[in-house]
Amino acid sequence: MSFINLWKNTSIKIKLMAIYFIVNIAAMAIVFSILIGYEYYSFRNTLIEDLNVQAKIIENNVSAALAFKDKKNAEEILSALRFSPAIQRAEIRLSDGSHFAEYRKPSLTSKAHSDINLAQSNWYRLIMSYDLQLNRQVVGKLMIEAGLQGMYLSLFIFSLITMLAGSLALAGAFILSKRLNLTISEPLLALTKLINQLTLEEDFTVRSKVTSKDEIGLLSNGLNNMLDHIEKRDAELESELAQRTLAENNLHQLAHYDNVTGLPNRHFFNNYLEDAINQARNANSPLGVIFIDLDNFKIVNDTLGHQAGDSLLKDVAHRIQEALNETDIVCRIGGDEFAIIMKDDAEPGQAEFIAKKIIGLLHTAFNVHNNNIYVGASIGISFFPSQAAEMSSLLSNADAAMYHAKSLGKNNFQHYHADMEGRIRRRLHMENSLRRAIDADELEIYYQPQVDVYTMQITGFEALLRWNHPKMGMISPAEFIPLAEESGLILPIGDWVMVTACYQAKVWQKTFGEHLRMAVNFSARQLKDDAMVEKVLHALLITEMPAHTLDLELTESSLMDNTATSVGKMKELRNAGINISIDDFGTGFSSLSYLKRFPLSALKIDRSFISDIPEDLDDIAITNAIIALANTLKIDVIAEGVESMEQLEYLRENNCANAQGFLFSKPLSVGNMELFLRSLKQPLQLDLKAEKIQN
Amino acid sequence: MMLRHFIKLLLSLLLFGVATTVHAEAVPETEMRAAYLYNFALFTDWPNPTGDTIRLCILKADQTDFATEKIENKLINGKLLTITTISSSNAAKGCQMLYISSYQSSSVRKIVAELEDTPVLTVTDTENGAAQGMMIEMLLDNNRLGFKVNNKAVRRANLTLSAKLLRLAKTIY
Repeated sequence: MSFINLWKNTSIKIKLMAIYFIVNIAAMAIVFSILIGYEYYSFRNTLIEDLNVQAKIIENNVSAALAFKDKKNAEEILSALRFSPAIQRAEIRLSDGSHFAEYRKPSLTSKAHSDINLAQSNWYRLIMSYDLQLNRQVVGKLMIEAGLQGMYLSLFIFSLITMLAGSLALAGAFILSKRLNLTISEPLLALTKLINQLTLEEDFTVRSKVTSKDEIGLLSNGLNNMLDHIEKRDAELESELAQRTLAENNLHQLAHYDNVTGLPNRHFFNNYLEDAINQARNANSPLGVIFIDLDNFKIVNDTLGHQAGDSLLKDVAHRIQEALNETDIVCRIGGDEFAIIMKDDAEPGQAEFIAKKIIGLLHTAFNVHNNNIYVGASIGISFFPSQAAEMSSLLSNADAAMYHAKSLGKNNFQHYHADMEGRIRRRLHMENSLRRAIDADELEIYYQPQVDVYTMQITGFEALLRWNHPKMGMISPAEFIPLAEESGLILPIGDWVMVTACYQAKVWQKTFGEHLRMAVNFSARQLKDDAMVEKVLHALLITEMPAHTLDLELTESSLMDNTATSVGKMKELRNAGINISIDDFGTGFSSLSYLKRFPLSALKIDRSFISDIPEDLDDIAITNAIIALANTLKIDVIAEGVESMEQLEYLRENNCANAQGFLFSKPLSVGNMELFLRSLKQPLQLDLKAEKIQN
Repeated sequence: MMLRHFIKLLLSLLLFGVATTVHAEAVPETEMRAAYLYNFALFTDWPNPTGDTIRLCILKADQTDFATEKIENKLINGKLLTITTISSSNAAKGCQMLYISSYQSSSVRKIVAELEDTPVLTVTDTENGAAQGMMIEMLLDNNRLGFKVNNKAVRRANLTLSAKLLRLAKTIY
């Protein structure tokens, strides 16, 4: 076993030498044995031949001596055998077996006579027996004993010479084979070296230089062919890989980049942010996310078309990028939403700096298809890990901050605060609840009377929506109306309010007087509704409420957002006899030019101006101005939030004919309002003291 | 095994005993002479074809000198040895061998003369027979039978005696 292992681990060079040795020695041993064997028998045969010849001569010569029984003569004849050195002794016996004559080699020391016996023949003594014939009759027997020592000596010398010759041949063969072996082992070594080099360096351009036509040459050729193959396949693989990489890059580009702005898309943003958060977590460093939502982008898209919108987005993307550090990344994550990931220098100051810079850069008008367009941005900022430990919370935080910025009047930025989250959650909950509220009959309209300050008679009502949430209780319109506007729920709610209020107005007109009016609030979102005019007219139609008794109250900002189409709709309503008033006048982005453009029938002075009258002189001045403006434009004016007799007096003195407020009545449900109305003297004459007692 | 060895031993003892007996037995002189005559014929070459027989002729008076019955009708080199008694030496010319015992010199010379140049091997017991022209003379030396050869006479008679025979001769003339 160990020999086999040893043999396996031996190099081919040594193996070849060993094979040469073994084969040569084996061959020589065989040759030697055959030669020695042959020589042995050859010597022996020669000896026997010699003995035979000697015996013949003796036989021939001794016959007479035998015939005449002449022992002396016979022994004389036998003595001729001394010239044959191998013969030790000889003996002639008569046919009756009796001893007749003998010969002994002179050098024989033992003189003792003993008969030669055939049985004494052994490895060093050859004994031959011959019949002696005379006259065709056996007359005696010749026994010859020959020593084989001489033969063995000759054999010994012969084998010495053979072995010497063999050793010389072996030595010669060894030297020769050592040289010849190189022709086998050298190419093998070269191949082995090559293969080692291949394995180590993986350089497949090398080639074997063995060019012989034997098996090693074939192996070498095969190896070279294989290397050619590998190299070719490598090249093919490389080009295939390159094509695939190209295709993948294209796919990656499509999958990860927005083709409008060239910025990375939401998909990229998510992946990138995930990696960035992991890195930041490992490095224990902060990470900032800035959400940007463009204000009023939808208007551009709606009015100038999608191409203009795309062009604007492209320009916006450019400007945002200008505001960034090299390591910050901006992605377009939605229609008009962008997100920035701050990796380095991620701290509130820097984020604020970037946000301000972006707002500043966007402040300049964009030229889109030869229109000057102004775009604001609401920006929310949140940080990992101080404000959010996970990616999802980081994103919702930034989103919350951004919505907060939007709710704070747009074109500003907000850092995330923990309390935003509660707001967001409540908002989300409310939105879901609001969807159910209409069907669940949780919405209710309260009515607040409007009064002629001079006659103290009720002239009409304002319909005010209330939401009686089963768990959260009464929810203020200021809270859920914006939510309804954003979610679009304002449309079905608005429709319901319109029909319900008109119906109620018609009921009270029948009971308490045809002149009673109904004011219904109308949001900007409703104003944009294409079917808005139809819906209003339809409500009047089915409730049989006269159009001139309906007031639509719009906010300044809803007028601001609107364009020529809105003006057209308002004119249609106006033509139908419906009155349009501006609610909360003086608090929005006042642009007095719309007073001229829109067919208004009344202004409502915001409660914030009335509440500090008569103490605040500025408020008095503003209120005076609004009343004067309305009088000049020959439209009605009505004061909201009137709570005291002094304020009532002031209105009377300053020609503000109409008022609404707690002084007269707080908003009441239909039932309470009917009780209240029934308690009044016709035609709904208010007795302030009596009324107050009642409340 | 033991039994076989024992038998071997017995046999060899028996044979040895017989051989010793044979050896010790003294051969009678008459028989020896007969054997010698026979042997002489054995080592002699005659010039002419002698046919199927070798005739040994003996003069009438000499019949008792050797035991003729011992050798008569024996084969010599494939030829039958016959013994013929002749009355006169003159008749010996048709023989291959002639034996005469002890004679007077004059008688010997007469026979030699008669057979001169005739291929007849002449053998005698006569003292100095060989010197007187007989081819072979048998004699007793130390109680042992020997012989002398007159090779000249042999050659004259155109006979050839084997060198082996000659080697054994006590004297050769």
